[in-house]
Amino acid sequence: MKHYNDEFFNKMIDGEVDDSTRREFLHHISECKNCELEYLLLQKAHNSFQKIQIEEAPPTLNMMVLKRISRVVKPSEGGKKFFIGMLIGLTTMLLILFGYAFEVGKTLDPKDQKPLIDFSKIDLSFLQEFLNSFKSFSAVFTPNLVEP
Amino acid sequence: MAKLDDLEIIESVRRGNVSDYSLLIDRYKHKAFSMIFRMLKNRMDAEEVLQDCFVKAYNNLKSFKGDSLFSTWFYRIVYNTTLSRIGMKKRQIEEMMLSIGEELDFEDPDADTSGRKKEEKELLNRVIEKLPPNYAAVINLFYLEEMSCEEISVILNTGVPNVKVLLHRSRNALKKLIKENNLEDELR
Ligand SMILES: [Zn+2]
Repeated sequence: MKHYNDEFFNKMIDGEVDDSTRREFLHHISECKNCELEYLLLQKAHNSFQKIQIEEAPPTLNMMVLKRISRVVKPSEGGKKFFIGMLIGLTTMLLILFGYAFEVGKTLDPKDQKPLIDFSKIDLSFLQEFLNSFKSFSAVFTPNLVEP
Repeated sequence: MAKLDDLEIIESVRRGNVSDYSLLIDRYKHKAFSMIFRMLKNRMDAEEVLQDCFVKAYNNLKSFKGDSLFSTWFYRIVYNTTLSRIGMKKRQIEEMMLSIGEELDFEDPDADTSGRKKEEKELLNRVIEKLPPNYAAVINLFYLEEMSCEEISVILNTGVPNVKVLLHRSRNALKKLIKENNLEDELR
């Protein structure tokens, strides 16, 4: 007598057995109590798995995810804008600098080269006056320290 | 308002209605959490991974082309993120799926000695608590998400026969426990 095994019982449960094989099996278990028991046990295991319970996700999940998502979205967009702004600014500065250097370069004829600032023409006496007044000011307020 | 399907929600999120993503979270959170928790066996870790999965899915929503179901696409993220949390590298995962080892056997140490008959639910929990991660994933997807072995094989990135082996071994392990606890009396 040919008996059946778990592999076959699993196929029966999954509906992967053709009609004639199925009829043969059903006839067999009507006479073989052992195969019937083994099949019913597996069926019971399958039914038991069908009652598997759902584990509840934490109630704060949606809030936490949405918080993380919006945190991800904003800085990256802001970062992009900042990057583009910086790029435009830098390019403009470079263009101005190159343009200036180019213009200066064009007029740099050794004959008419002049310093941009002629320091000999600047009156710096006001600086001397300022330093003097500062000296007398500190002498009045800290006499002991300056002249004991 | 009519219930939106996954694609309609995704379109709305892509148009900038970020808060609509909550609808998608509500749709999958409990079942995805069940799967992650049973793969990791740790509630705190599972909560963190669940959050990561939804954030990852959101960040990659652009790459979801709609040529597969959203559920398949999303559960691939869930499965892979959970395995990464366990510390499995891609190569180890491939090896695990290629050689899925031997039959499961969750011996009941006091099956004969305690004299107390364990209830079916208790035995089910014992099996679920001890299932290795890939088995736990299959059981959850098959019984909770009611997915076909074909869909599950896409999620686990393996062949359908492998998925069936994992499913059948899990059933066989529970069957053995039921038998050891003499619950077959109830079948007669
Ligand atoms: Zn038989």
